[in-house]
Amino acid sequence: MFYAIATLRIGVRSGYPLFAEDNGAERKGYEIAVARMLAARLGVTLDFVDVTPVTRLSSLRENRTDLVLATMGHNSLRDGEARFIRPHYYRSETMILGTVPLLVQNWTDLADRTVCVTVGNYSNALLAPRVARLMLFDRPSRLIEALKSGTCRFIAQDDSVLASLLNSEDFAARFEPKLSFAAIPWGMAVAREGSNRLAELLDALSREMHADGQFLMLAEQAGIATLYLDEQASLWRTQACQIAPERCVAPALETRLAPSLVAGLAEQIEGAARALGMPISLNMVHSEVAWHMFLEGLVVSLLAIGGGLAATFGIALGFGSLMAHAGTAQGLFLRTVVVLLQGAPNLLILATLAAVANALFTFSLGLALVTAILSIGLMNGAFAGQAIAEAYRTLEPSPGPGSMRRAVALAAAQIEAFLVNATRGIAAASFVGVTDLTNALTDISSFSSNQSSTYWILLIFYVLAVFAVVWGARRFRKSLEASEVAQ
Amino acid sequence: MMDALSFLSPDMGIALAKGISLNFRIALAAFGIGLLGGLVAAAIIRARVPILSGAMRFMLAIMRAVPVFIAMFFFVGILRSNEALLIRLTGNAAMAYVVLACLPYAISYIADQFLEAFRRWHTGDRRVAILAIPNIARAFQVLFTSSCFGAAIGVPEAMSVIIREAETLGNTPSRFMLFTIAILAFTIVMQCFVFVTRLLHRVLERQFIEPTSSA
Repeated sequence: MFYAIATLRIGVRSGYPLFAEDNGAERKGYEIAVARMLAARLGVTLDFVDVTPVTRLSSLRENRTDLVLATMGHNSLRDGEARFIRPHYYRSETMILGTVPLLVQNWTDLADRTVCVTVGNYSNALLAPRVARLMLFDRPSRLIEALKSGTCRFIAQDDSVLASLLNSEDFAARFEPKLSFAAIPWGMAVAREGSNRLAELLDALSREMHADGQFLMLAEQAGIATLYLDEQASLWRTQACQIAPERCVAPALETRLAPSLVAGLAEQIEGAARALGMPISLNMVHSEVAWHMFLEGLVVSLLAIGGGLAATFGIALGFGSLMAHAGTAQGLFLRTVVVLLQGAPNLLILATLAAVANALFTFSLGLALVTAILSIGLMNGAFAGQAIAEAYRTLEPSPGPGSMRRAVALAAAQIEAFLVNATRGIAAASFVGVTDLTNALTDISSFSSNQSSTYWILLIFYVLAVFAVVWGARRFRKSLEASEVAQ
Repeated sequence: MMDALSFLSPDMGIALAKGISLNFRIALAAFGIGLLGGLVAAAIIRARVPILSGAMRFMLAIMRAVPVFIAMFFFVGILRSNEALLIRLTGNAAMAYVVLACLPYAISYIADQFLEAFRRWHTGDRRVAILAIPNIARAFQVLFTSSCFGAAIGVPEAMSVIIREAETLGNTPSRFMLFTIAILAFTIVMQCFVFVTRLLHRVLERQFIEPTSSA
């Protein structure tokens, strides 16, 4: 026996295809094979203990396992909770998987696309700024269902989760990897206290298993990607790494997000709220990346609301004037436009205008914002314009200079209603990739732990925005009506 | 006709029909709950218990201000961790999110219509009071179009089907043809609603108003 204990309790997953599966009769997969190889080399018997992503680290702390070998990414946050064995035994990446006919060669091709992800992944923080929208799902199985059903055209998920699916011919005929990013090394880990000897042995064994190609062979037998293991095998065969291994081991992936300027203040507010029995989480301001997204979302939302109101009023005036002075054919055309805008859902008009804009110009966030503002302006402005034109006709016995102004004053109530409606409607701009507050907070939620407070903030922001517009529009209406009375 | 639509996927028609049926079910569920909620809200306000009716008026003001799209993301964000429970209760979590999102609008709008109808009825203006019925029916039309917001969270309703199909067509004339057809199709459906609402209005006027007037 090479190690001082007779039985090594290894925590493994039980339902992770190609890596660790337990069908009742036998366990199989790359990690199972690695566990068996380690036990054999250490000269100990092996006792498998089932763990999950939630229990794998606690199983070490609670001494239910001696070693955990359970699809665990080695990141800087976990370094404080366990002693990771290096060199790492595998590396996965986040893969963008998409429908075969959709051509994606680089990130620019995804700039106006929606990508579906599972919540809580660190890689979402890297993905969010590169794509139009993230659609969130709570677990990988739902994500894959959504891809298969066509609800999602692209998904981003760890390539180890997708490995078994891509081995299926049917699946590979419909979907293919488009891009990869956010590589993360996988580490086996032991408890931080009292496991130094075992950790050192496993460090040495890992180096050996890379150098003699054992990891690579086991991966090939399991049918998983081997690029990383190929590189590691070459690396650990070099004399430099054998003499000074510490120079060749890779560090943990740094997943601690840089704190924002207001992180301290946010913590104080959270502490004060907790003391009052209100557990809130201001995760949108803790990290620099989230704070930046939040501020940008806030500014874009305010711009969208302001732009939507201006466009609605401007288009109402233009449409009203056109309809008021239109001949029969022009009038029929304009009424048809109103009927079409009345009949189609907001999202359809938004998507149609966005498609036209993207066909004419290269997609950009500015273009998406302008398109959304024009769509909302058109949908609400056309109705308000119709009301202005109808009011104008009531003045027809005596149309003359100032009639249009009087018509606007007479239609003030409808204009007010459609300005408020435009404020509510512009909230959907995120659907075409506008980086407004909805998009920003969804993105932040995708890599943050607490989501409830985030969505409360979103709701409160829009309710307050609508209240503000109702107040402003009512004052505007009164001033219009007052000017009408004065005349 | 079929040749002109040959650019569409073969299963597009079935998917669209299923999508529209889902839109109807969402609108119907939101309408049903909204009808009940609106009636209760209006009754509470009419009861004139100061705190209760004040609180209900405040709640309705908030509900009027909530955009359906935002409400949908709000419910998804708040309830995602309890999705299993939502599925057990409703059978379809995605659909439930959209129904819930439509409720602030449905309840507040329908409550407003009931309040106006009660007020008019009591002042003897029965003709205007009866107008609440077609007005309430009109809410169904709004709920039907609002249900299309479900596309943003992956609900496989009609809008989702159209967007999905459009993505496969790329920036080709066919894509714009698809959008045009979709706008026309929705307009026809909406005009049917408008027709039914107007018909309902006329029938009600004939049934309830004219005999009273002549009497």
